[in-house]
Amino acid sequence: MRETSSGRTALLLAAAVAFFPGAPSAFAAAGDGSGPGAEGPAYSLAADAAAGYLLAADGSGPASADSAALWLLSGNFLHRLSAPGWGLVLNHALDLSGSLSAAAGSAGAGPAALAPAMTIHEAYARLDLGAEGRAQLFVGKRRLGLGLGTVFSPGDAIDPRTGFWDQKSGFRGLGLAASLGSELSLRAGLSLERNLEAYAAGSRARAAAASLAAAPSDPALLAGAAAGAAAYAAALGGAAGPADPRLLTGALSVEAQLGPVQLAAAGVYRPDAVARVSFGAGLDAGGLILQAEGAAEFLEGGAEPGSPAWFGTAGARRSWTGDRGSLILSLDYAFNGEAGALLKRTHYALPSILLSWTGRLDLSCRALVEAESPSALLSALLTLHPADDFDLELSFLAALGDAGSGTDRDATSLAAILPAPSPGSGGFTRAAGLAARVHF
Amino acid sequence: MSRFPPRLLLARALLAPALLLLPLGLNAEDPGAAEVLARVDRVLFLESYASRATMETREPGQEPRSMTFESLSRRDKGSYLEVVAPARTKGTRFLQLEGSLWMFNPKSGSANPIRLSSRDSFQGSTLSNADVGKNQFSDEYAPAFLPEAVLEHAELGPVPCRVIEGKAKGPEAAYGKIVMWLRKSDSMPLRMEYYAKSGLLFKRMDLSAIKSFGATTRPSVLRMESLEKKGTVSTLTIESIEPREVPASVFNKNWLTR
Repeated sequence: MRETSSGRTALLLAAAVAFFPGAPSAFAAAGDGSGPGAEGPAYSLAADAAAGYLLAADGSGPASADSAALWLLSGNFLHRLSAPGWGLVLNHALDLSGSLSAAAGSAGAGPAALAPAMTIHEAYARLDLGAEGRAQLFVGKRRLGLGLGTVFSPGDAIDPRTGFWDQKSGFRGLGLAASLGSELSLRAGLSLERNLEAYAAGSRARAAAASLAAAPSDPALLAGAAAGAAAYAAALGGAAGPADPRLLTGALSVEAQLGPVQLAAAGVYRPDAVARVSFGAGLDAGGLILQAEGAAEFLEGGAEPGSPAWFGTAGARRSWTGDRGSLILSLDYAFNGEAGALLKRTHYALPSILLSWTGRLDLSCRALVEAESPSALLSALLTLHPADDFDLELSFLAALGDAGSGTDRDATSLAAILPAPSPGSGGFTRAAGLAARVHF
Repeated sequence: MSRFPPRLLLARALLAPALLLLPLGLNAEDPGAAEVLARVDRVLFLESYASRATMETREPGQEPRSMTFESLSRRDKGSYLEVVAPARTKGTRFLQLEGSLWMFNPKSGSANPIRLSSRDSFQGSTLSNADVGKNQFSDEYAPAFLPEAVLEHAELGPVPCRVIEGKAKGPEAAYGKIVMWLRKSDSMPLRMEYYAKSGLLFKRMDLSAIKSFGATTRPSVLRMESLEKKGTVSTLTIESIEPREVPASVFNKNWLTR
């Protein structure tokens, strides 16, 4: 089994939640049994399992066309164990898909390849501090969610971005949240991701070195040891060791809610690597939700030495709800001042449409449009609800861009990191799927 | 896979009028209408409480749909609500504050709660998200007595009632007026009639199954019928309600993502 989100902390917490004998009947209030005064602990599980079929193609052109037919079998699980004063959360996905390369191109027809994967999005323990739970300490892997943006968060340099529209995963470390009434929120995070990655790389390097010591003439072991040492050095990035505080990343966020106005400020810092500050504001203008956020990065560098790199987003969202359903339209603009690991261009538009009709179907259409190349990433999901807790999903994904520009095409590279399809689908730019999903 | 359940808003809209009627238990008195309404407010909207309720919606040609919610409310703060059933939307959380409404689905791909508009209209633009956070009638409606009448109650039969008409004081009120039918013997609400600002009577709520929830006695079944769309009925069954000291920290965005 592949474990895409390794880490002792996460695994220990995962095991703790998975094997804790919960008390489902202990519900008291506020859903997870954590309502003030509630008696606990209370266990809850929100989960779904999906099976489906997906066709994907790279769409590069007839000469290099490649495609795959993928059987999908996956599940998502959110475990909560909550009690007054503490709680445990495990949010993970299990992918049991087998990939069957089925068609043309160099891939050809191949055998089914089962590649189960467990992805731990979040696994953390919560401890309430202070009077009336005004502060919470979090230990484990958890999202911090800096800023106001729901898709593009220019100031969030601490949460990992493993998917563009799907940002379920957090970082391993510590978190602290404090509430001053309902108006003011304080949050802080300390990421140990780089320390843990360096520790893991060091362990692998030592193991490779030990193997080489046992058979010093083996060229494969020699290469492995060299690669291990190089990976360890890269993980350290100049730090003295895995415990070096220069590998730590810290973040601090303050949000204020003043009636219809929301203000947010955040900062993220890692020595010699990241120094990002951001400010955002939101407003409910008579039903139209307006949001804007800007960020400056002082260490990753701007166009000129010593100048900051700028990022920003601004957008509007409007929703309508009636007897028969609801409709939410939103349009955001994202300014990506410097090419990053995720977005490679400067100007983006992010329109989206979310429609729910009579409780029997949902339609979600989203796009990331990049004007300079131009290219676009389109995603659509039609979900039918023929019965309680049973869905039929028809999905479509397309990455559109100038042919021949290779992997540098922004939409193409983004398509490769979308969460589905999973095994063997990297690089495909068009996909359509049908799936059945059961919620439990 | 990313999921966003906007239809919860509809359910919430249907639930909102019911939440306005949570804990009841009035004494038989004959004060002025304003005092009656103020006293109704004090008893209806406990200072701080926890509740659990299931709502079933029936529409012509559709299978019934139900949702179960648990909530924490405080009169001076707002409401925190979490869906516990059905499984599809289980775990989705709402936070209603004065001037803002937030929704967070921990199963979705978004790391942040999504802000929704408090002024979004529901039910033909006469019910808004802000209704959910409103914890009293008397600040938005000016009451006056109407002639007493006998209500033909489905469960209790003919019931002599005191009738109060609450007219909107300003444009921020969700309804043009609300007519309340209170049982004469103990001022227990048995019917609420909701009028649009145009004057159209478009929804009616019948309250029944009066039962004791510890220290408070109140109707436990609230049946909301749309008079515009025949056959569309939502029934809220209150399973539990109890006074509880809800700390202010619950009404903070941090609580949504904990």
